[in-house]
Amino acid sequence: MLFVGLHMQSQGNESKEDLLERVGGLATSISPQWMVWSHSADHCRLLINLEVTESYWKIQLQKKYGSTSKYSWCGMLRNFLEEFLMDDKQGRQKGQETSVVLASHPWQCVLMLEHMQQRSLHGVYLLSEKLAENVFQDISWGSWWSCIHKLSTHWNNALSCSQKSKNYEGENWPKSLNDLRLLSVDHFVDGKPFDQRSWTRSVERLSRACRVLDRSTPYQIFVLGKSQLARRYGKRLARVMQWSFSSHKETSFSLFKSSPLQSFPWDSHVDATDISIERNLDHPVSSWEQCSLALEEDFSRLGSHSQVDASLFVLSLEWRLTFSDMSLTTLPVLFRYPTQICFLSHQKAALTQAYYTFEDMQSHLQARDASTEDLFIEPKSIVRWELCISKKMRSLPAMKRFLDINTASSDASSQEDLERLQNLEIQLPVALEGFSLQEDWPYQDSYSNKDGRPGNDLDQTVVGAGSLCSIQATAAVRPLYIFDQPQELKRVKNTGALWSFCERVMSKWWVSCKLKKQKLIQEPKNNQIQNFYKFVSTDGNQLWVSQGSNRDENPWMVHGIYA
Amino acid sequence: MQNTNIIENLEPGHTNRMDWQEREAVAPKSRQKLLEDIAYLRQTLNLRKTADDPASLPSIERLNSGVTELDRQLRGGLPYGSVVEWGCPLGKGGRKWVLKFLKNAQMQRSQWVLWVSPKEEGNPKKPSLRSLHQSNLCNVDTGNLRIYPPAWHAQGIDLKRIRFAQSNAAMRDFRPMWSDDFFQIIVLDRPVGLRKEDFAFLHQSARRQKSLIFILRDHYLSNSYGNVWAKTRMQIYQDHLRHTAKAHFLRGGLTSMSEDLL
Repeated sequence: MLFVGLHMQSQGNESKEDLLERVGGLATSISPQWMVWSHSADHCRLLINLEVTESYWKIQLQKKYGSTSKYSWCGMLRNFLEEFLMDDKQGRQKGQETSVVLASHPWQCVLMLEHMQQRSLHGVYLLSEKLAENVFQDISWGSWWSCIHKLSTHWNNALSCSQKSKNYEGENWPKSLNDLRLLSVDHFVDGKPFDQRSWTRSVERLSRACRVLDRSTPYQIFVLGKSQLARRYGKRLARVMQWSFSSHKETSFSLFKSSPLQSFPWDSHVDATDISIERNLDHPVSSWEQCSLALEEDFSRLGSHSQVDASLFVLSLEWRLTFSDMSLTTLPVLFRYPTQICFLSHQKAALTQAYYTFEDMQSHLQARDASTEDLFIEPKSIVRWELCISKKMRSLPAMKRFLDINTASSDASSQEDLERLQNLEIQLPVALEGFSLQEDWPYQDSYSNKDGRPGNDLDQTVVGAGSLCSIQATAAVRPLYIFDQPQELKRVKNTGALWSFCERVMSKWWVSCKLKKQKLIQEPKNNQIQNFYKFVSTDGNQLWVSQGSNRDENPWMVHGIYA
Repeated sequence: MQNTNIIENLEPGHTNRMDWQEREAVAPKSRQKLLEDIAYLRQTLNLRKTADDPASLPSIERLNSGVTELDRQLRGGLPYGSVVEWGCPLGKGGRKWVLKFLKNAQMQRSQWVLWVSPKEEGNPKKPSLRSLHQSNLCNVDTGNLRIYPPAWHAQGIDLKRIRFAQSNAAMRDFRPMWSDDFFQIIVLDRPVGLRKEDFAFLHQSARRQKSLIFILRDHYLSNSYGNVWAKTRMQIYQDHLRHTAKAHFLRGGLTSMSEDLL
């Protein structure tokens, strides 16, 4: 997952509301999922979650910069934002009032933005790059405490809202849009809600420790390790420390096995504009054949809605059904790529996706009916529905124009192919996976999904021509299929089997040592050297097996199957 | 009676040149008569010309593998617009031969490939498949198996022009795909629950889109269960100890067993 932190200063006599509208408009053109971290008369700081629009940006950036760009998609996004935001033509003074950070966790964006303001740094920083990484590790205590204060404010708001809702339990609680939004904000760490007093105590302890231990930066405290931090300053502060400095390379080992937004007070912005259409059916319908024509017409109506145009990209729709017994069901109509619902081809894709979700509902209802003992169950029929755009992004005209300027001499046919593929993909209920090679030799790290492996987006590299031959030669002796988890080979003493040595691999000892130093793992594994063999059993099965350097302790493991 | 003999000689896979010579030696004067009979039969029974002369075949686009013997057996390659059924048990090395065709499709024609594997979760046929494999694959559970793209790249596959998907209901899940010619090569690897009607549909779809659909079976094929919709039914036996590989054609090959491919 990738997050973008955006800090913008107000221009001239711009009011607070105008500033938020301007920055919010920019954020909405990047992703519909964003939150306001801090907002005052002179600045506005937003956090943007790129999870839902990642595929859109990958395609757009590939179109702009070409598929042979030396940058990964994160690098291309950094370049794009730098060119767009710092462009003189956009009516801004070059590099004066905008700071942008791309990181794998929103908290890292917050810290870096604060640090950049304190050091008067502007521009776009990708946190996985060496320069940004070095700047980030130098974050001062001043920046840290300022961010911690704001973090506790967000947690407090979420806590007070949830307490308010509990007090009114069973009664009519005047739920405003703001309250509803705050209710979904996470303030729990390891199942415990936010507690201001214990949090203040933890913060004070840490504040004292940094003076006593003479630690000039928070990073120097972080290296104490997770368990030490949790013991001394509480689990919540240890979690915040981990958010801060567990680099993207280590996240797969320890931190973000669950969602990176877990425990983070993500207070997502809610777009109040409602784009929906409704249909009251003259005759109740229960099958797809009966409702497909009307639904097709409704998608067409939605496409010609006054607020729908080519700049609106829809990420998901809600199909709210009302049955004859007045019960309600909401079926989500999801898109793999942001779609422009004003176009006929995308309306067809929406209809196909609606069909899949309708079919799922039908099978669910059938299963439920089959399980009940009542013989006279009346099949549910639909009397009314409403189609509502639930997630959307609106591309800024200036950004669209900027995206359309191709800097790479890209192949027109390949662009056309990508567009056709995208149009096909949005009609499918299953994902089509594409892969690319990575400049790394251990087999688990030598490729990436086109959508990026979870948590490792910033890790993606582009294979240079120099490394390609070596990577190809290594892969030539490896199997077409590998196991998620290697399995023990039981029948190894097979005299008729054929063995051939493939490669000897040493694990990344420097990563293990670094993690050990940071107390993220207890001990680096002894089993650092592995010998890989091609094992062909007497009945012709070809397996890719390995054994550690210490043959007595390590069993034979199967890692993959050849073809 | 004479006509029946001629038809027998014209069966695909049968080399009839020697018969002509023999006939000429025995009855040289009757050759003209025989040729006339053949022309008549071809016209009336709409028989195809003999397979010995690939140039005389109607011009069907074919996808070659780059392996001389294999392409010769397939009369130049696998015909586009058809379904190929391939006996390809996992772990026996059959997929490497399939990749040779895919590589050429990508390199020579810049075509896109879709490779559909079974989804392991919730697969109703999984236990039986697994138990079948447990005996074959040294007690290895194939449940958590996934593609290793660098090895595919090393086999010559362009990763930019291939997409992988997982599905246990390929006919339903790829419905828009069957009526679109974007993917010219579609591989259904170990398909689950593919019925005869589905084969008929796939055949029609391949013919309409002029695409090539591979069905990779997780077992070796036999004559006991035929498949009228697959134009080519084949498998490759590889002997790792003797370092030999032979293609076995149940349908669509020049002969039923090829020479050594390696």
